[in-house]
Amino acid sequence: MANPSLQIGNDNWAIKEDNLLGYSTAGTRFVPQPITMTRATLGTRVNPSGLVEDVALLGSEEVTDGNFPTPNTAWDLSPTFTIADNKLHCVSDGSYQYANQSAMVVGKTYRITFDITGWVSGNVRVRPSGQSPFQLAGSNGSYIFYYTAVSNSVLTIERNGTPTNLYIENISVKEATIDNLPRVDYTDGTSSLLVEPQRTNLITYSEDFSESGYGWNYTSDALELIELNSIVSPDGTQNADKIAKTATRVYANAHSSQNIVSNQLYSWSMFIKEGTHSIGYLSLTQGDTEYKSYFDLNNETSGMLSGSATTKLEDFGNGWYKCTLSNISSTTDLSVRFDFGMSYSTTNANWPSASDGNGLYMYYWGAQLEASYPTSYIKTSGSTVTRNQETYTKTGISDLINSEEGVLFAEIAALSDDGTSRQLSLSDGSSSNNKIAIIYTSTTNQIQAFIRGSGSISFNVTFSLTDATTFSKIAVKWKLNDFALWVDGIEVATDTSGATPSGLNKLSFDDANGNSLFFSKVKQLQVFKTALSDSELATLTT
Amino acid sequence: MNIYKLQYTDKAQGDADLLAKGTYEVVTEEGVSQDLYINGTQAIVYIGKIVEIPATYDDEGHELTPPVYYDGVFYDLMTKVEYDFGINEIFPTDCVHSFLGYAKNADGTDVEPDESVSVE
Repeated sequence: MANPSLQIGNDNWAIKEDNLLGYSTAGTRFVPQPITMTRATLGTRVNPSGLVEDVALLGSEEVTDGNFPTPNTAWDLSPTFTIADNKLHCVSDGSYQYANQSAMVVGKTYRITFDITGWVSGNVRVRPSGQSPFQLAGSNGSYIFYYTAVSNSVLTIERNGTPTNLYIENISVKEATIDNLPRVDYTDGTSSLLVEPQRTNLITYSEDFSESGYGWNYTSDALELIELNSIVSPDGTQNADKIAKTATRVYANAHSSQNIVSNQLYSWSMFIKEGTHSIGYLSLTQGDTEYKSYFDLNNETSGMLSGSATTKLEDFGNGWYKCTLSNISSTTDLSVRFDFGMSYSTTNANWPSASDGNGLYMYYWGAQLEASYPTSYIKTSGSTVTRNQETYTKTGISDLINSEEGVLFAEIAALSDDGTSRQLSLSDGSSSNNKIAIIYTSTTNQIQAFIRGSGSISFNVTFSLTDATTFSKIAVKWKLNDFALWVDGIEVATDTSGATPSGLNKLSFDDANGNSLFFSKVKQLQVFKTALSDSELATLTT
Repeated sequence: MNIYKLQYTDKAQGDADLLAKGTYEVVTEEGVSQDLYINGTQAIVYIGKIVEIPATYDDEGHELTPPVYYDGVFYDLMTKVEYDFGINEIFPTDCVHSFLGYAKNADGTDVEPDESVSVE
């Protein structure tokens, strides 16, 4: 088989700011072919170890003596902040106390990580000195903060106004590039490029379920947060909370509320791990309409207790499951209440009596309420947060595409069978002139092959996939009076008449005009400059 | 990058102003209309109404009092272009919305290019 003229992925991934590195081959040599990508915010992925992580390119360590050795020479300490045993002991009676060092450059973005151990009381701010707003750290666990230093280059660790007694260990500050970085995701254990739409997590504290000040309401005393940062969460740090049923109510949930927009589907998800109880609970209430769902982690089943909606249970390893309640909409803009907690059984949310189940607990982390289908995790800490949409484009590659004959092959899965059009195209830069496209159509589980030459449609066929959200190997072949669509080893459609396009010089994850963005997972993509034989196409797509 | 915090009387007014400013355009293909970001727009986030006083609920989860909202509806716009939104631009001190990886009250920042490459 001829070598592809352009490839992406196939377990060979490299990323760079603004680029995903595609490649072509010359003999045994790989030739980089940078694919331009945009997403002007941070994004997260599941890394090869199965952990949820921020996708950021990190610079070198900017902190001197972040492990707090003695004698101290790097830190400017106020009188009651002391260093011993490789820890910074932060003690304050409420008076201003601090540890400082110059570690940043104004205008640059930094990732600050540290651990709190031996917490007794109080909070600390760890930030560019004087910067507002700021985030607080006030319990044992691992912390990750991002700051763009606005006006001060000094890293400061300082008490937050109240009596404080805690230890800080292993502080690190690294310059972080977070925008325009492709995401190679390993959610299912294999690598694929994750291409997602703009999404907003409407929950304002996605990882903090403490009882006051963080948006979660425990006023019915049905649940009790018994240990903050109790165990290691899906992001690999000890920041998952242990939450237990009390003897006060027959039910076991806490709630928050948020506005949703009319005529829009919503998804409500959390990561839940079995403790002494194994059935998690999520619900969403609009006025008097309730959608209650259970998630039986032991038997790996989920379903509705009341209302009509969709549930999904995804294994994230180490006993963690992403539990999702979705397909809920409203005909008006309104405030909705959403609950998390435990369900008594898979048929009844309530225990037989309030005292039953007293002390049973589960672990919780990563709450997300978003419009439409569920997407990758968006961390929040004090506000709703948006991750921007992602685009991929490669222009000026007429030498890599043969307009007269060739094959476009992709191993892809849709993020959702959501009734929208999503296109992967080779084009001359326009959607209406010369184009070859693989399209998830607005029809459920339908794929389309579409070829237009000099403004006229040459090949336009559709095929029903069993499930568009599972990976399929799809190839479109073009040659004068010889067009075909192959799906998973089978030739599913042909056309023996039609002209070929001309002037193809662009690959884009859209319709060539910026519409119908190709939100999907892509394991591999290949462009061939020759029309492969049937046996080659069968091999390629099997 | 510029991040604008915007307030309008209602969504129709906000959408019309953002359209008139050229932050997006509406494209219709095969009978389906889509909003397409143009001219350097990175994201338009329709926040909608913002709650001033949250709703209250009884022990069974039923709403006792509805939420009280600030006047109008709100948007966040992230763009590479500078605009004059006049009285529609606001400067809140404790924002209810932010962009992932940006400070909660960020109204603009530049990220320096990083030439390092990550290979898997």
